[in-house]
Amino acid sequence: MFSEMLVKLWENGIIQMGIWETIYMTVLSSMIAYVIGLPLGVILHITDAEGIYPLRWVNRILGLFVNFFRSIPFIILMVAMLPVAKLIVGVSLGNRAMIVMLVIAASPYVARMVESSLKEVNAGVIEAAQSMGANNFQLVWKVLLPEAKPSLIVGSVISMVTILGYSAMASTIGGTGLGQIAISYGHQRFNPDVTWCCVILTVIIVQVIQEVGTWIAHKTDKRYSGGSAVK
Amino acid sequence: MSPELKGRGRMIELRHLGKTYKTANREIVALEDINLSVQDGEIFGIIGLSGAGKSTLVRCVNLLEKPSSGHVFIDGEDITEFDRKSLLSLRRSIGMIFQDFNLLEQRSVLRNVTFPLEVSGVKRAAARERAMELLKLVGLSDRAESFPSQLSGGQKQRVAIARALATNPKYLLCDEATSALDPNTTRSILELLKKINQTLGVTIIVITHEMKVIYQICDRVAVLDQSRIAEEGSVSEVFTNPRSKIARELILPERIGASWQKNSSTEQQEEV
Repeated sequence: MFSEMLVKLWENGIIQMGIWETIYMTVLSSMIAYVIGLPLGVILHITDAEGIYPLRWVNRILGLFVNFFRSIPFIILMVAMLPVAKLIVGVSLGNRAMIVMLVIAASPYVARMVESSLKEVNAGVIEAAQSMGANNFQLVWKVLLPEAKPSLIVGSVISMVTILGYSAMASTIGGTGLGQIAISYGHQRFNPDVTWCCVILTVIIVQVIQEVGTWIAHKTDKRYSGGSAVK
Repeated sequence: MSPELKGRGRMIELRHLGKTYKTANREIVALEDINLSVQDGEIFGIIGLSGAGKSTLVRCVNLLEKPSSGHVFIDGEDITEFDRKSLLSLRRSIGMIFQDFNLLEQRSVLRNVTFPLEVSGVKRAAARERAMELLKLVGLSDRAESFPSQLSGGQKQRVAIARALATNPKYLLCDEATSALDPNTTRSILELLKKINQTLGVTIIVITHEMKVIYQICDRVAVLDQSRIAEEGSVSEVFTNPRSKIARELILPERIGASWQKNSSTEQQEEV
């Protein structure tokens, strides 16, 4: 029923390893991308003309920078950034280089996701906090981010799924994971069942990320009265 | 400083206040040569139609809007000359409530009320204690752990009032505070404001487009029309003898309602 290749890959633990590598690449890259992208998104939001600390030039330059990286297709960005990866982690092949690529590609994306979440925060609430003498740091830390939290969580789920997709593409520069197994054992060696197996596993991982993320976002959102009354 | 430009003690004074918004190709005048003084302990109403400049005016008092010209004196100090730090600490002594309540949706009622205290560095335990006192004052002690989404409009405004009073401000600015509420709730919120004025001695500035709000709680009133003050005086004076056209327009239909309201004390009156 299954090809010999698929059975072998499973018995030798290659597929299990692939699952683990895909998850670990995605989670690690997402975390680093948020460490960079979250502050960028906050800066983009507050320095906007309508923001709490308008700075036209900072906003413009940062916006251009973010758009620049976002407009390059990932597969091209990856090749173009090989020297950068070498500079940062010392190699231009393999998983370490791949994480650098994923972070470079994902951080600007995350910045825009964060910016759009912050935009949803009611301007009246910001004004009320200002009327109480909150400074800009307090506005960001105590009002903007906490009020945008459910939307930020939903955004991070979307970002993670995007990064997972990128990680499959990164197998072309020698990254490992389900994408690499699908391409080299499935596609290139004519074992469609290996490819499909990787596809199904990827779909399951995406579903789990999506469900868990949505559940957390809903659970922590105090705007829905259901069940959140008691802490 | 010339004597004209010096403040006169404990109150809010606006002198020759102007505000102009510049857009790409034109200027919009929101306020022009506003002169007002609000005495300590009074409830001062500012009434006008939409677009008259009321909201801009009240935001000039705590400099949420920066006036383009003129001066704002609070307790004798010209706050338009304050640096950012003094301005932030000044704002902690002026409470403000809004038409849409503007509560923090992700914080409980209690933590909404402790917010201004947190911002000014009050210790957590002391802030909680103060917040519970205020929730008792506004009649919501039992809702401390609720979230804003679980409250009615009137309850939300009560939380907002408790929050605005947390830092013990001398002044309270109310920007259309009852405009989103039904008539019964409006009445109870106005009664609460009156009680706060009388028991805590908080000076209140009320912005509204409804004459009944002015009639019910204000001592004095200014009528704002097309960016200028058309008329100012005690409520009874302006009410019985409106001199400006705009004041007559705002008052007359309401006055008929009000006299009818007095005659039928047992009935609920609100038919607009």
